Amino acid sequence: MNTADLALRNLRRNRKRTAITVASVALGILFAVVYASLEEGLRHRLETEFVGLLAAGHITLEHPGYRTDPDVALFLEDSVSLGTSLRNLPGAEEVRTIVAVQGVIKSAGGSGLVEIRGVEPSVESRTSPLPSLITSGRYLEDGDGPQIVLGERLAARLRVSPGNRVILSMADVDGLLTEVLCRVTGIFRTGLHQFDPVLAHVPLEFLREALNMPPGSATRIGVLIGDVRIQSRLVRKIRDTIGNGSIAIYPWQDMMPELDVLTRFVRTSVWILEGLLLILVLFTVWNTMLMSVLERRGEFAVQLALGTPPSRLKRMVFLETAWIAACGALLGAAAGGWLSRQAQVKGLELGWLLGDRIPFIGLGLPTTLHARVTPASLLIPAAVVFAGVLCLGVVLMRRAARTPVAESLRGGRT
Amino acid sequence: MTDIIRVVDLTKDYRKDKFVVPALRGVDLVLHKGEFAAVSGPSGSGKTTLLNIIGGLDRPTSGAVDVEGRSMNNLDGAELACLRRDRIGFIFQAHNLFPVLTALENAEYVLMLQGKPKGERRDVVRALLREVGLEGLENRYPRELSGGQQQRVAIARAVAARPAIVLADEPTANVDARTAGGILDLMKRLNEEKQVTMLFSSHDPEVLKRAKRIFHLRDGKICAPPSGIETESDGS
Repeated sequence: MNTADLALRNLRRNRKRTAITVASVALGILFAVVYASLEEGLRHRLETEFVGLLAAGHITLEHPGYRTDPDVALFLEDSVSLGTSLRNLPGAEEVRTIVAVQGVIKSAGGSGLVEIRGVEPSVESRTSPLPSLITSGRYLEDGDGPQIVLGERLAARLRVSPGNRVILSMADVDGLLTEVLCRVTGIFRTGLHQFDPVLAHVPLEFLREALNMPPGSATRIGVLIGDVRIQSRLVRKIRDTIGNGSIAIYPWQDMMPELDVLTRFVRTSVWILEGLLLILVLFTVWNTMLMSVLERRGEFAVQLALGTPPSRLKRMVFLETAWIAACGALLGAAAGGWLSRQAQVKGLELGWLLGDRIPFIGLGLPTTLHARVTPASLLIPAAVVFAGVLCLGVVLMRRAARTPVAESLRGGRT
Repeated sequence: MTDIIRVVDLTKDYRKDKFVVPALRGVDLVLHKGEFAAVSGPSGSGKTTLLNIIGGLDRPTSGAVDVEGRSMNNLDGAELACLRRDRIGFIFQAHNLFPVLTALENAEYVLMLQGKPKGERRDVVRALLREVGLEGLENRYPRELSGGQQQRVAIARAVAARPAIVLADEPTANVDARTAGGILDLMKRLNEEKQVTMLFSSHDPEVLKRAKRIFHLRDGKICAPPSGIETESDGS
């Protein structure tokens, strides 16, 4: 009959109260894990899919003047060797080479402004969600020539469908107007108002030739990384490796401040929610455990009267709390992890509640939320709640050890 | 005769809101080794307070209590806890057994606190439970025992560590008259056989008859017992 055994017996003695307390801890952790995993999933999606769609990559390299004056004459000369050295950096997963130019697109049915991107189709298939967003026709393939994929609203304005031809008018590197004929290969729908009415993808080589750009040149090079936490380190590394003033290096947050604000907003709101949840859980656990300690004042008084050292009593009460915290943390983390895993695989469809897309500071967010279970999303909420309950245990054990013996035994008699 | 307990000019006041309620007003008593004595008095006369202070569960407002010649006034909380564990046994009115422990484990609790090896304490306690008539019930939990049986376990727990004195606060208050007689007889037998000094409180004249000496409390003072209360020695 050691202290741990006694603590366990005390918990078993009042099974209902123990179950309620463990359930409170477990439920709190479950919600915290699901929240954290959904936040992790949304943020991961924003930082991978959206960065892949909206920007060249997590880190963008371009001519220093290109950002203020997006003229194709301001290109990077040797994107091939630059790409090779970037690919060799630890943490860099993919390197995208892009030529971007603005122009006018015409068809037999209409015309409009267009943002043309020359891309490498196979790289795009691996790094951008756009190839999977084709609604009719197909996406570009390596080896394609004068072919183009268009945003749905742009195609509607031009009244074209896959197989139709369009003319692109743009200024080449010498500032001369050039026109090329392309055949529509596919039409995509991103749901983003800044893309669907204006964006078009063409093969990189074809656009270079059309713009009279030297072989291997590009207006932007994007580096995509697997673990976004290493981004700042990689930016420094790139600056150290190739930073000579002739190439500007930007993290995606500089390229897309709106998306940065959104990810910060998501993270902050989840922190606030998790904080409130923690307070709620601790309050519930505190109430139940305090009730247990107050109800057992007589028992503690007898223990102290018989000569039990207060330290032993403290240890017993703390162990009771620790058992509850550990069981609740394990159950909560397991159940939360399982639910989050389901939400990761199947997704949480909110379209019935929010409509087709969720508009937010100019971005259309998908309505299917996919959680992402990571060690951090699983362990941090469990550890925080566990630690919080242990802190309550410290307060409660002190309270138990301070039980006024005579008063508690007397019960009003003198 | 060796003094086990010496109480000198003991007072205890309780504060209730703005008022001071005196519970003990200058109590003096001496208890010798091997005595079987009682504190009597009506409800609110200060019996429990006196026993609590003698047992080191409460502090007096003034006055002194010595246990085996050692002044309790100078002991801190930890020293008092050790004194209670090693030299004082307690029997409470409401049995106050630990509900999660069996009869055997309850009885050996103080021995466990003293750090006695499991085998040794089990031998002591099994013998003791046999003496108090609970052989075969060692593994029962308090809820599986009658009130009288629970009080016998409490008695075994109080004497298991061979204390200098056992303090019993109205040990028969929660049991019927027949059981009360049995409990007092058991306490008396243990007192005689093991030479354990016992001081118990009660206001039941039938119970008090078994005491060899009675300290009658009225309004916090020791006074002559009212007529009708006789000790065994008076009668003999």
